[in-house]
Amino acid sequence: MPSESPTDFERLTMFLARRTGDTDYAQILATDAFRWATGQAQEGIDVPFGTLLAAAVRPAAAAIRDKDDEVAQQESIAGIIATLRPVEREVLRLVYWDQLSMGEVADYLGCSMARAGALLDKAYTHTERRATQLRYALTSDADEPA
Amino acid sequence: MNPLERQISDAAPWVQPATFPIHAGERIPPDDAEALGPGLPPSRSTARVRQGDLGRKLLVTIAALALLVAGGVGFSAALQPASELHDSNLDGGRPVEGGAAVASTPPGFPAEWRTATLLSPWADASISVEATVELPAAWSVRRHEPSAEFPGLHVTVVDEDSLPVATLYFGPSADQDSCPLRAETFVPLQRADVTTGAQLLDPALASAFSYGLTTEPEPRGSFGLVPQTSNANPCGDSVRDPGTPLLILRFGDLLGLGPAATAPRSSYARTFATVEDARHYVQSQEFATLKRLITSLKFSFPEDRSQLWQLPDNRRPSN
Repeated sequence: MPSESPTDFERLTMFLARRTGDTDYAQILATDAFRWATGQAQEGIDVPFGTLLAAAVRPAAAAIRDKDDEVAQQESIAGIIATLRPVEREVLRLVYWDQLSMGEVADYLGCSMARAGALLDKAYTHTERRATQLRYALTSDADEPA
Repeated sequence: MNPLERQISDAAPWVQPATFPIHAGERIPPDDAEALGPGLPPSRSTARVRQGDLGRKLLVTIAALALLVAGGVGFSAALQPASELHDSNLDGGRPVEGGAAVASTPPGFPAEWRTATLLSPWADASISVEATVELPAAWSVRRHEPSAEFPGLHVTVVDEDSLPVATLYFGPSADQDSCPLRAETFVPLQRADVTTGAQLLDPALASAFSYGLTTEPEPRGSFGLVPQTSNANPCGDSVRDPGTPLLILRFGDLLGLGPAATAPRSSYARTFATVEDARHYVQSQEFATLKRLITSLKFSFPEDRSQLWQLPDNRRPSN
């Protein structure tokens, strides 16, 4: 594998750090998740990356909720995303922040790819509508109220 | 990518690029790996089994992680996803009940957590201060009766084997020379600011989670809340009104105040053969559990805080 591409550990840690805001905590969670995945692998069970993410993020659910509540107060795209329904905000973040494939998103959510695609579509539509309501300029260089 | 997609993408918080915590080629000798477990009391049979496994699991993990980092080995999609989820059940990225991720929750992770709510009278019985703390569902909270020394909220969190994990005290101090928070006296290994709400009463109560080593008489891990500021005054800058009782906050492995300091300390304040062992320990699930417990502490106060939290008056006859 080329060294330029991030390893699964790096992807997982960045995923957790973006949500918790705590890189140290993210590394602890990631290490524990890998330890669990290694145990699964020894029993002959392969763990999809999306499932690994879901297992890793579980202990941090409360911390992430607190952070989302805080971000939801902001008048920004990030604030709009934080006000979406949890499943919608997560699918947007998985795709646009973490660059997960739809297959990985489906593994994370435990649903079919078609279902994940429908959720992404709905989340995008809701974000666009709220951004328009808040008069955000959907231009290439603006993230400020118009 | 259209403008909205770009804005969504740009809204991602910047985070420091991840660095692998253990060098890919590094191998921990078995003795060192097993040394993660010393300090356990003999009665702690269940935990001992878990901790004993930790060394072996750590070796396996390190070897596997080394392979993953070096080779970028991914996990192939072989697990069959669970049935489709209901949207409303997904909360903050947490997998829903019945989802694939829940069904395969790692054994080391406490599967269930709960929130314990603790109430203590404020100035009289009519109003109270409320604290909440998250803990694994199998753990419990034991309340201590108010005493002249500790008239405030005083509890001990115990694990499933009834062994003490951490002690919480929040309230007035009979000792006016105490620091609002326990000052650090160890080699810090990890630190993170937390917001408990206690700083609303006194900025000196602004706290941070800290884990470090006391070096004497042996390297022992100590965890808990410490002052958030690290200026010259280890006790922080209290702005309480003259004549009001000093409020103190303790939550960690040791109460560290007066005679209680000699009380049995947490069974989770582990000893380590070397500092490096302690650095390995902070990567463990047990440490993550302790950190979540300590950092989950939140206080709610009465809207009317004009009545101060008073020490019991010994001159007043008790009924």
